[in-house]
Amino acid sequence: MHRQLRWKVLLPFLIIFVLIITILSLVIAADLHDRRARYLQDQLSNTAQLIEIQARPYYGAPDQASQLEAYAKQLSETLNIEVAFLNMDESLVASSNSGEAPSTIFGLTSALTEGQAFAIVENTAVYTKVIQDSESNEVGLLQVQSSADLFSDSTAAIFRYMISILLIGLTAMIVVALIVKDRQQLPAEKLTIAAQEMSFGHFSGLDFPEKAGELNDLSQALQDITQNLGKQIETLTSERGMLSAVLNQMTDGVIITDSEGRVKLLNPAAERIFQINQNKELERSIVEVLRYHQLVELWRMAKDGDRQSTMLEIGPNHMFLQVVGIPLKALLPGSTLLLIQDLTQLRRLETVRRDFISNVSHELRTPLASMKALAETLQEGALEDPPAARRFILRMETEIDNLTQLVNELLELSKIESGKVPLSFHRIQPCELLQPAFERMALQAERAGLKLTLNCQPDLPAVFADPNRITQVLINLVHNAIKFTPPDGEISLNAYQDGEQIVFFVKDSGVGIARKDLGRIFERFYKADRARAGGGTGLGLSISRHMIESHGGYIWAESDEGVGSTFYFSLPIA
Amino acid sequence: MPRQTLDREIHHLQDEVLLLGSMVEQAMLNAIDTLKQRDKKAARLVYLDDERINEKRYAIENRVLILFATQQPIAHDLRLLAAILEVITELERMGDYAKGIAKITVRISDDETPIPIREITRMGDLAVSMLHRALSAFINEDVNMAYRIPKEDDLVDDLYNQVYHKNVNAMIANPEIIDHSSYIMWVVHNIERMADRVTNICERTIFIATGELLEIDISDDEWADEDEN
Repeated sequence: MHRQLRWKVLLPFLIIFVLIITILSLVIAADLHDRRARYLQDQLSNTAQLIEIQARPYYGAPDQASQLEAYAKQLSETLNIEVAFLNMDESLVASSNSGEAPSTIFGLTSALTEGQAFAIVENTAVYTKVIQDSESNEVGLLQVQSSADLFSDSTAAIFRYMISILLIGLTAMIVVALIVKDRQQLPAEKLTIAAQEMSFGHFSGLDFPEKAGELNDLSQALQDITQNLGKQIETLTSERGMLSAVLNQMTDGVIITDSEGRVKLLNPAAERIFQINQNKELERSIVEVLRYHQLVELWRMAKDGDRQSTMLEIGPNHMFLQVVGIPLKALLPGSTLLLIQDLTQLRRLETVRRDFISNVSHELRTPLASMKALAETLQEGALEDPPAARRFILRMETEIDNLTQLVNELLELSKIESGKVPLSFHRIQPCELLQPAFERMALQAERAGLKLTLNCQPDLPAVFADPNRITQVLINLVHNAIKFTPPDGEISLNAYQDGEQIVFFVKDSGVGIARKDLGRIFERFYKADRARAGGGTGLGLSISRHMIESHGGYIWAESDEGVGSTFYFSLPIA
Repeated sequence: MPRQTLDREIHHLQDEVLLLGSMVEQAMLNAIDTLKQRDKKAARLVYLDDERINEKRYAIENRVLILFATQQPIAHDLRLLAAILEVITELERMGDYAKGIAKITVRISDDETPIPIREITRMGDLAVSMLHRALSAFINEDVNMAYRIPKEDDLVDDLYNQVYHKNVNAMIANPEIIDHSSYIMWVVHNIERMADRVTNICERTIFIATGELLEIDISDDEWADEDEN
């Protein structure tokens, strides 16, 4: 870019230089031409004067032609000129050219002024003069010719010199422009480059001229601009960085639209909530982007008026959103800000908590109610009947046991959930975990008329686990299996290796679990079949899940209704 | 009205169609929810909300007619505006299906007979998803998508047939639930019809883009069997 500037500066100089040289050479050439012509004329006129005086006697002599010719030839040889003598009627009398007329003869008489004429024709200077005899009678014409070659040669030479000077001058100027200026930029060039860099947003490391002459003030002003703009841009950049960090990291969705309803800004949280892609949706209308009429209605109200806020449950996934629409009046006229908070998860937790409390209350109330009934019966006279009273007391004890178990399990669960249960990890062979559970449940299974089998390969790698806790989980799973398997069914305890995990599973041929319940059976108090599960607290699987997860494993279930269920859990290999 | 204004007006109409679509989608989802929860009060709200759907449909129709009268649109604009008239009619009918389901909720909510809610929810989700994407295709004039969506109708039809057979068997086994089961048939029929009408929207999308009015073939097993025979 700065090159152009250099040529811009150089070009007028070049043009002026060429013009001066051209005009100079033309003027000199013209002047020289004049001077040469006058010199030739003078020379020829002097020669002609002499010849006239010499030739005068020959005129009128009887052998004037031969004498004049001899004289002409003599002149031609000594003076290197052509001489011709003519009569007044322009007929040839004699010439230095063996009686022939000189090459250039033209309307001589008509061209004569004051008895003489001079002309240069085709590199030949021709001087014509009237010859007068001693009585001043015009007796003939004398023509003297001389070569004017030298004259034209010298003009051409001047032009050649001038062109040479022109070329040398031009070359010198260009060379100087190229070499010298590359090393030493003009202050204006430096300023231009600096300004151009600034336009690209570079504000540091700019090269300003130290001495800019008449551009000093401009240079100083530019430097000030650079500093101020640089600082401002730095401030803006860091503010922008902070804002975009907030926008990108915040969990609430943010959408800004212009007055036409086109989406101008969309943060990642909004992308996530509405499952859209920022790149595709920017500049599109908010209706196309959101596709929820409730949100668009809120947006319209906010756009035309005041801040709006509402809770919405929308879409097939029952998203629960808190949406705030704010007109950005003064800040960005016409624009509207939408803040979207996704409360779906929170609401689900709320539901779980509510269910939990209602479940606990229910589980506590049932044994309490039956104890109250038993106590009342005793008060109302059953005490007088010792055998009945003893039976009632036994039933009360059972209820108390149930309550105690429930409370204990709740405490246990809350301890596990808050990570307060101390686990003592050991390296242990999977079969050593299955064996105790098998032994402890064998009798119970037999009583229920079920076949309990243990399949375990002793060469499985050891796992890292708290044996008591894992056995407890296995017992719990077998216990459930016994409860839900009709007589003559089968239950098996198994383990196999799957990559870095050992997977344990308890398989039964029981009633199975409905698909809709399968995902929820690990929730607290969840009972798929309340009638059958009546005896339990509904906490067993929940405790098992927490126990396995605190071992770094997973627990899951598969089931085919009417065919049986399989409960799996995995433990990492030690 | 200069060209730019016409463009903006058309764009605005497209937005309104999307909003109407969103209202219909939500109405259908809500209607199925009321059935799931046997919630009479919520069902009444769905029923009443249908009025808003109808109003919006007429408002859009009015604006299209005004554009016809003042702009005399040609070529693509004409096709688009004509298609909008057709699409809003379809949407309004779908809204009526949702209203119909809400009405059935009110009738059968006190009945203890189980409702095949899993199939119904799945059908509803499918139909709503089809409608949602069909409207996207309509606005973006995405012909490929418009060809693809009607094929999903098979899934809805399968679920419809499942519920149908289950219901017929249940009715044969226990004639006391005939009343209830016929209502359930109406519910699934409504959803099935909604999915069919999505196909019409897709046809209009192809019409806008290509100018061709064609019937998208949805494979119909029963007829196919007959053809083979």
